Amino acid sequence: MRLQQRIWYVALVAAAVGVAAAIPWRASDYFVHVSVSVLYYVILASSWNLLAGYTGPFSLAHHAFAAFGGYTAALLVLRLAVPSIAAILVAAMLTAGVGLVLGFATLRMRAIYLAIATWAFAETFRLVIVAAYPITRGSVGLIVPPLFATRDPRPYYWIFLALSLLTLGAIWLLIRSRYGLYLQAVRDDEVRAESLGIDTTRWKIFGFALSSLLAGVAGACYGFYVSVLSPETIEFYEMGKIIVMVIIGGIGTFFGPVLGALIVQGLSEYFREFGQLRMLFFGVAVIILMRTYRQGSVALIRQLWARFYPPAKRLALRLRASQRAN
Amino acid sequence: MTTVTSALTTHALTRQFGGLVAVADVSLTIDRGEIHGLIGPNGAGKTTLLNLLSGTIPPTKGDIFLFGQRITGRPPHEIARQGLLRTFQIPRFFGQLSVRDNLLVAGYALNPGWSHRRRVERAEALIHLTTLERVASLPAKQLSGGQQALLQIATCLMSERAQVYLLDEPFAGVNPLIKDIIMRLIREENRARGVTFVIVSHEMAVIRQLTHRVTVMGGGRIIAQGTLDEIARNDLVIRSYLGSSVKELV
Ligand SMILES: Nc1ncnc2c1ncn2[C@@H]1O[C@H](COP(=O)(O)OP(=O)(O)OP(=O)(O)O)[C@@H](O)[C@H]1O
Ligand SMILES: [Mg+2]
Repeated sequence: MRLQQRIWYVALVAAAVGVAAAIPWRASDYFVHVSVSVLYYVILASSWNLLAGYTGPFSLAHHAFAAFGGYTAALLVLRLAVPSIAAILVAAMLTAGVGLVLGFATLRMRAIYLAIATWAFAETFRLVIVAAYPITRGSVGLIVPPLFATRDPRPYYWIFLALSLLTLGAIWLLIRSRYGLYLQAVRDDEVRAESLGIDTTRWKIFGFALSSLLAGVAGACYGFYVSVLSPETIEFYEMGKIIVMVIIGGIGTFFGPVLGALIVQGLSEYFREFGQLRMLFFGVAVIILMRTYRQGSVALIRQLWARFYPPAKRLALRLRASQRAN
Repeated sequence: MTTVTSALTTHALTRQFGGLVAVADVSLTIDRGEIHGLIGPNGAGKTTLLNLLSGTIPPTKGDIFLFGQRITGRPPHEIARQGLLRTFQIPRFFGQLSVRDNLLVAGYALNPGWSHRRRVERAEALIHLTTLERVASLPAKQLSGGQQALLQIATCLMSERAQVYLLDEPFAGVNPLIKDIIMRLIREENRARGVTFVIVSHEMAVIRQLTHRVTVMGGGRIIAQGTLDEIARNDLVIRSYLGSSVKELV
């Protein structure tokens, strides 16, 4: 990338981050609250996209990983009096461990069997949470002590902003490195990847573990924010929401899940009174997108932009060409 | 044990699919620095043999040695890193990655120590050689069948360390001009670095121009071995596979 372009790019990102960081000073409590949930889903959608969009396995257990992180951190604090920060870190590690095991268990499965197996794992986990009432308080829900003494959502907003920036930064660097190419090679053709010296087992499990870790961190922090955990968050609806976000935004693209989380969570909040009907609406939107524009709205925007603003096309080409000139 | 002069040796290699014995008791020695042809009728077991040699599928029985080292049952990526690379009869590649990235990812995996510049230069040279310049930035799934075959070979050639190449019908659907370029490249790699090639082809012209020795398979077994002239005189081969066409060619 040319230096001038790079400066523009960095300036643009810095400005966006600056605006995002400044939002809480002007916005209402409610707006900040919704923004926290958007950022939470930015992390979940981006980390699931890392697995399903860049590595291949179409896991249906991502929401369960977030819940696993949430319950683990909360139980560590409540039952073992572990400090919150340490609890979040331990929960993240354990979630990565569970992701690694699930990745290993589903290693040789074809797409449909992998989807079923990961769904079964999530459902089992939900039933365990419901059944283990003495520890998890089952469907009643587990009250989690908040991180801060105030009910103000703003500190959580900054925490989640920092977490999503860290997540996005890590994913950005990863997919532009040789390891990101390995992941995409595994996604496109495992047999070919193996025959060219890529250890596909290792990279698939790595994809599982890393995406679970990110979901675990997000889930653990979000638990402290919402202050009550319930097995409802492990219902398939929640996974469906993540999938819808990634598909509407653009699966296998970097900005897709960010945009998707913003659109879906934003609209969900706006049309709150419609309840479950909202999912129907998103379902229809996904079907329409799958039939017409499979690359999602990021690609759509990119094309419209290039069409109505010709210099953008040249810029896009140049960006693409220089992406991996590391 | 095997001698060090052999690149690949198999002992009684066998692979069954249910009741079907696709490769039966194959004991084969490919010399170091040899260009070896593998021919035989459809369903003879050629592709299955390559799958076994590259570790893509495990054998039911038997052993494989690469430069004297036993590689039976090793995962394909280890065998690849030990210097054995292959192409597939139906081209395999990374469809959503650009042609250039297809080459770069192979460069990363096969030559981890290379500088970025060296990798890029090698990739560009191969793109030029295979005349894929115009499509170099396109997702590989958009290539034509012949271009996919070329990309597959170019991807393997990203390694400068590979000592053995197994090519399954490498020229199917490839334009004669580019075919010549690749054949020259194979001869060049063979002469300059002593690289060993096993080439499966139904095109007798290719086999005749390139190979030193030929193995004929039929029904999963080796039915003849030798120079093309020798096997062309073999009655069994003529009866079971070549018919009379080979006499015209040789
Ligand atoms: N995965 C598989 N499962 C079941 N049978 C198989 C499999 N692979 C190959 N076979 C069988 O093994 C036999 C040998 O097939 P193979 O592909 O090795 O032949 P080939 O010599 O490469 O033929 P061609 O010239 O048509 O490519 C065939 O009868 C085929 O049906
Ligand atoms: Mg074959």
